[in-house]
Amino acid sequence: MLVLKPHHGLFLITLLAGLLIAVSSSSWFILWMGLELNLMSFIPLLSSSENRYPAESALKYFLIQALGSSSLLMASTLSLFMSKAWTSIVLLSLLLKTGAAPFHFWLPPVMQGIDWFQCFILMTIQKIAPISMMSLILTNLSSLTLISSSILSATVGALGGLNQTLTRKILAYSSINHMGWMLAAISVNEQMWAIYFMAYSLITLSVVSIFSSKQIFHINQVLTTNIYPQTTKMMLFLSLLSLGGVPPLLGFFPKMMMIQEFMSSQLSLLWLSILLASALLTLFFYLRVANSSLMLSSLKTKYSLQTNLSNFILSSSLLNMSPALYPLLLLISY
Amino acid sequence: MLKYLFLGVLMIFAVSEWNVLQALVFVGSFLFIFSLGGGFHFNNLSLGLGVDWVSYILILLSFWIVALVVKSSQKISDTYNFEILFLFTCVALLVSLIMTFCCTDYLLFYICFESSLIPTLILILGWGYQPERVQAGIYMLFYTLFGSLPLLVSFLLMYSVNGSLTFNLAAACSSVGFVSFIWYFCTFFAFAVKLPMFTVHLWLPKAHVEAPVSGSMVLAGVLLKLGGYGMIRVSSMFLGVGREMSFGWLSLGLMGGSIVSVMCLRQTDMKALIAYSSVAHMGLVLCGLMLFSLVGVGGAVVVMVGHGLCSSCLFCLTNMVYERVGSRSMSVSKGLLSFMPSMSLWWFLLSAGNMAAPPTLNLLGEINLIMGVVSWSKSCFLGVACLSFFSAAYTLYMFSTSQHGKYFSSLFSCCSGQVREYLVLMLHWLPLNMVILNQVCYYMCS
Repeated sequence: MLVLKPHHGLFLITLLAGLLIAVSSSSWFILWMGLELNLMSFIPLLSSSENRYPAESALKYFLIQALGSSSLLMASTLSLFMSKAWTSIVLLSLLLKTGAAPFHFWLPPVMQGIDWFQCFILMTIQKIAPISMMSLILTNLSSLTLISSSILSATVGALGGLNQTLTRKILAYSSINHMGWMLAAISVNEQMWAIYFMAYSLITLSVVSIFSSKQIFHINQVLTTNIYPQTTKMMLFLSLLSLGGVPPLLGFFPKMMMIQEFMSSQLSLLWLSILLASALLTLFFYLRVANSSLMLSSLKTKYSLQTNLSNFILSSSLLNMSPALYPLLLLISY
Repeated sequence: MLKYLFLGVLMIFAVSEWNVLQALVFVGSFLFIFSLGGGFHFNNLSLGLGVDWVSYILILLSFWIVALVVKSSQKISDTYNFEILFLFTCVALLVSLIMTFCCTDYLLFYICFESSLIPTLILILGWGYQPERVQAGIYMLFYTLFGSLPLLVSFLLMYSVNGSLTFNLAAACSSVGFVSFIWYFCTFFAFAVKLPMFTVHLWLPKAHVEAPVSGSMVLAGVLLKLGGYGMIRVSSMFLGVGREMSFGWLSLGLMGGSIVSVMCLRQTDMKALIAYSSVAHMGLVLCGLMLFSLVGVGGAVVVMVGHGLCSSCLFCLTNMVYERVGSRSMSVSKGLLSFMPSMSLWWFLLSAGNMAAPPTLNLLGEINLIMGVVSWSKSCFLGVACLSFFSAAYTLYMFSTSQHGKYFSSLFSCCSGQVREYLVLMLHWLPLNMVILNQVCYYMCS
C-alpha cells in the first residue's frame, strides 16, 4: 500500500524543484546544482526505518549518482580547455545517471531494495533531467556514443530480463530496454522523446499501481496472491502487453511513431531492427508474468477473496485502452 | 460502415446476458447481409472505412462465426465459467475483425490485424483445457508478431516513399531488384505466417489443440482468412516482384499442402487433424492468391469462405464428441455411429464438405483454383493431384475412424445430440451448401 509520510511531501517538492532547475538551467553549473538537489531529496524518500534494504539501495544509489555528478562537474569545467572531448564525458556521466546500458548495473539491485512507489519515481521522474540534458549536447562524436548506448541498452534490457523472476527486477530491465528507445528518440527529436517518455510513464504507472496494491514482488505471487477480481487480472495482462508494445494498446503507438521517424530521417535500419527484436524479447518476459494472471480459474485462498481495490488502480490501467478513443479525434477533425 | 461497427461496439453493454448477446450477433449478421452495394468497388465509404466484395463476404463470415461461437460454447454459460468475460472477449474479437476487414488504410489495417491477437490469446489461455495452452499461446503470439514487425516497417517505408497509405492510392513499387525483393518479402511474410503457409505453420496445430472450441472455431473460421485478405490487399503494390517470385510461393503452397495432407493421415488427435487440413487448404489458397489472376483470387476467396464454415463446423463436432467422451484421441472416440447415429449424418455431410464434394462452396473454389494453377503451369498437375487426392483420403480417414469400428467401452451412456447442437451444425452447413446458388459466386469467379 502506498503510505505517504509527512516528510515525503516535503522531499517530493524539492525533488521536483531540483528537476525543474536542472531542465531550465542555462549553465552546466546550475544543471549540476539541480541534479544534486534532486538526488539529495530522493535519498530520504528511499530510506525507511522498517527494514534495512531501502537503506542499502539508497547508499548504492547515492554513490553512483555522486560519481555521475562529480564527473559532470569535472566535464563542465573541462569545457573551458577541451572543446571536443568534454561533451563525451558529459554524455557518459548522464548515461550513468539514467542507468543506460554500459552503466546499467546499479539499476536492478537498487530497484530490488525499494518500494513500488519509489521504483516508479526512479523509473520515470528521475530520468527526465538527464535525458533532456543529453538532447542538448548532441554532436557527431557524441551521437556515436549515443547510438551504441541505445543499442546496448535495448539488448541488455531484453536479455537481462529473461532469467529474472522478481517483478521489480523485471521492471528494471524493462526500463533499461525502454532507455534504448528513448535514446533513439532524442537523437531524432525532442518531441518524439517527450511522447515516448509520457507513454512509457503512463504504462509503467498502470503496471506499478497493480503490483503495488497487491504487494507483488515475485512472479509466483501473481498466481498465488490471487488478484481476485477478474477485471484486475485483465488489466494487469493488458498493461503488460502494452508495456511490450502489442498493437492496439497505448505502448504500440510511440513505437510506431519511432519507426516512422527512423524511416523519414533515414536512420540505420540495423539499429531499428535491433530495437524491434529487443522489444519482442521483452514481450516474452512480460508474458511470463502475465500468463499466470490469465489462467482464469486458479486456486483461491479465502482471505484473498476480500478485495480492497481502489478505483484509481483500475482507472490508471484504462489508460492503456486509450487508443480506442483515437477514432473520436478523427471524428472531431472531420 | 460505421453503423455496423457501432453495433459491434455497443454489444459490449449486453455481455451480461448470454441469450441477448447471442441474438444480437445473429441480428447483426442478418442486417449486414443487405449492405453490399455495388460490385467490385468500395462502397459504404465513411471515415476511412468501406467494404468491397472481399471484405463484405469476410465481415459477414466473421459475424456469422462469432454468433455460432457463442452458440456452441453454451457449456461456458451452463457452468458459470467466467461467462461475462467470455462474451466480452468475443465481442472485442468481433469488433477487431470488422475493423480489420473494413478499413481502407494500410496502417489501420495493420493495427487491427494485430489487435485480433489479444482476444484470441485470452480465449486460448482463459478457457483452454491443458496447462500446455500457455506454450501454445506464446507460440501463436510470437510467430505472428515476429512475422508482422517487418510488415509494420514496410508499411511505414511505403508511407515515407509514397506519402499515402490508403488502398489504391499508394503507388505501387514497380521496380524489380534486391531491395524491392526484401521489401516484398517483409510485406508478405506476416501474411504467410498468419495464413499459415507450410514451414511457418507450426503454431497453428498447437493453438488449435489447446484452444477451447470457441478459440478453434474463430481461428479456423476467420483469423486464418486475415492472412489471405492481407495478401489480396498488398499484392497490388508489388506487381513487378510478385510476378517474378510467384513460382516460389506456388511451389511452396502445392508441395507444402501435399506434405501436410500426408501428415494428416498419421494424426491421432482429431483437432490436430482438422488443423493440419486447414494448412493444406490454405496452401491451395496461397497458390491462388499468388497467381495474380481473377480466377485465382476469386477461387481463393471462395475457398476461404467455404473452409471457414466447414472447418469451424468440424471443430464444433469434435468438441461435441469431446464433451461426451472426454477425449479427442481417435483411438478412444471411435465407433461414434453407435452412440450418436444422427450426429453421424452431420459428420458425413461436413466431411463431404471438407473434401470439396458438390454442392459445397469448397468445390466451386477448388475448381477455380485448380484451373488457375494449371493454366499457370502444366507442371503443377502433380502437386494439385496429390493435394486433392490426399485431402479426400485424410477426410475419409477421419470420418471412418471416428464413426466406424468398435466403440470404446468405458463410456456408459451419453446424450446423442441436443437441439442446440443440431442447430449450430445446420447453421454452418446451410450457407456452405446454399451460397453456391447465388449468382454472385460465379460472378466473382468468372
